[in-house]
Amino acid sequence: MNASGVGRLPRWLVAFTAVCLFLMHLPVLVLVAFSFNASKFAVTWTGFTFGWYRRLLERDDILHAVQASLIVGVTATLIAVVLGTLIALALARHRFRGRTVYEGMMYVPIVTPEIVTGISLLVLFVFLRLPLGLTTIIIAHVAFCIPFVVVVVLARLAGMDENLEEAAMTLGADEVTTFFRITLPLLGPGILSAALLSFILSFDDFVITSLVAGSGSSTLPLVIYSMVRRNVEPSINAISTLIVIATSVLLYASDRMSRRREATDA
Amino acid sequence: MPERSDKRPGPYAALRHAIGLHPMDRREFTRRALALGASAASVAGLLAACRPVGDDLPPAERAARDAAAALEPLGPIEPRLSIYNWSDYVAPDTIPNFEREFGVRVTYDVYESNEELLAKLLAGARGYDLVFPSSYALSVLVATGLAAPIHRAYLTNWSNIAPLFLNPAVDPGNAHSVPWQWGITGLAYRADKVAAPDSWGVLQNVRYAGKMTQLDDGRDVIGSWLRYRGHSLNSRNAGELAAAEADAITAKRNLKAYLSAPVKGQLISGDVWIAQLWNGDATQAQVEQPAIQYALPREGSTIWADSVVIPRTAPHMRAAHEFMNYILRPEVGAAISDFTGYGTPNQQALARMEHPVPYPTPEQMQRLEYQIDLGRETAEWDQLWTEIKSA
Repeated sequence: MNASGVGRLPRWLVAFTAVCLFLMHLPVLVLVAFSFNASKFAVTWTGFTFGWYRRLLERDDILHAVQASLIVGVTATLIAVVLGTLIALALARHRFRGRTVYEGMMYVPIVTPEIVTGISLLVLFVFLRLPLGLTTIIIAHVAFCIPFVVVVVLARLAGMDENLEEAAMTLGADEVTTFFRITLPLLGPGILSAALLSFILSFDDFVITSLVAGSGSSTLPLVIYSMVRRNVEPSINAISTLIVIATSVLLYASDRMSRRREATDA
Repeated sequence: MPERSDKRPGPYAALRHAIGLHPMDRREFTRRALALGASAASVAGLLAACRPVGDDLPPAERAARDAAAALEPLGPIEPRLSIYNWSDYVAPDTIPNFEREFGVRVTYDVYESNEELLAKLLAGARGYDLVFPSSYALSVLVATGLAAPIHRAYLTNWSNIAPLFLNPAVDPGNAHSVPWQWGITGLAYRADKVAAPDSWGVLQNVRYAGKMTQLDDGRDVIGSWLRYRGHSLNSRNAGELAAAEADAITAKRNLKAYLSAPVKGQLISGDVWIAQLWNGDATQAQVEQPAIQYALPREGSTIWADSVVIPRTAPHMRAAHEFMNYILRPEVGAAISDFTGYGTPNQQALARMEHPVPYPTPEQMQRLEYQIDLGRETAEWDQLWTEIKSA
């Protein structure tokens, strides 16, 4: 290794990283492979088929569940990101009475066991006579996503130079212009990762969702868990494979976007 | 950091109050609740909301009221119906055909366990018209008054149900439930690898060590070892339970794992030769691997039955009754059980099935027992199960 520490990587470290990555992704590779397996039971390989992807088109329950999960995920993410970013700005940029209490309260939902959050939301919704359904799931997901958004955006704000905002205002920009032209673009990457985190938290939540879901709002995790009692049909592997592909594309796109931004910043 | 004066609460005072580290007295709580804009009435309402939506009537009084209510006519059929069931627990064409024939739009939602269903209904969730509890969950729904009385006049196909499945102990006279699917718990085995096991004792045989499984369920595991020693699988006797625990731990040394439905795959691949399993799952696995056979141990085992129940809060009573009557048709019942692999309580459906599950003979019936709600003993059983799993 040379003095600057950025010379050739030791070979063992490369090998170690490769093994770790392989082990991390092995389950997903198995899942993808078995989505093309002819057998109904995911243990023995009996032949190649696209049948489970075709079967997916007949499984209205799975398709509805994917739709419900997407509606909930996107809506909850949008709301949580807007509210969470505003909360983070308030906490980072302003001094007001009870600020420490607010900040402390932000962390409570992160450490509260999900089952407690779920039961309390269920009791609250029943008390308010709010019919259980997509709306209640979205409210619940917004509630548990906000703290994560706040934490991520606060971290980004901590590394941001406040002088840039002050400079903009000195040069005559009003508060709104400064926010949209300076603060928001600088916060962009933080907000984007907060949004991705929220979406993933929302998309695979089971405990809270199972308690606040109502008629006509079964999300994908609810359907998959319910199928386990009988048999997890390989069409679940097929839909999971499609989801893996979709998220990979999404991640790649967001990575490209932030790289391009960094390039223009430089 | 600024000095805190003694009069000002510390930074997380409100939080500590909220989680009870600083117990507030009643007046303080009321004052704060009012300050938060909550009226005294809504605080009371909030507490009331934590109680079940059922009623506190004595069972006899409730039975009399329900019996009277069951005779009253229902309104016209509603355009919607909300079903809350396990996934894949109806045939693919059951619901589309019902929608077409009755002009009712059906939503089908799923739950993962009886506990999830009970948690929701007990908390007061509304909106579901039909739920499908196992017998112990049914007993809870009946006891808390959450199950609506069945209006028998609308169930013209009632006589299709085999008498064997009528009048269950948890719902006398089927006042609140209609039989749905039934099954038994026994031993599935690979006939090409082992001889037919006729006793739960086979699980203690070291010859098959590492090739056997039991269900991942305390009731089923402890129950099998209670039967092994000739006791009821609903035993509350400490001595009998201790013996069952010892037997279960002896067997555990030979077991590959505690596995429920997913064991089917391992039976098919031959990684497991003998598995405690439900007969419906064994039938499904047999389709892929004909060497899989099923045996009922001579000491006896569990028979279970799931039911259809209308929650008292159901918004579409008439449509729910029409659906119950629809599934009691011979061809509809046959299609459902052919798909699920379980038994049908519909005796007219049996002859129309591709893979009929024969009814237990009177001799077998004497060895089969329903699981009942253990009430307060549940905690002890849970404790035993934890000890067995961690042994």
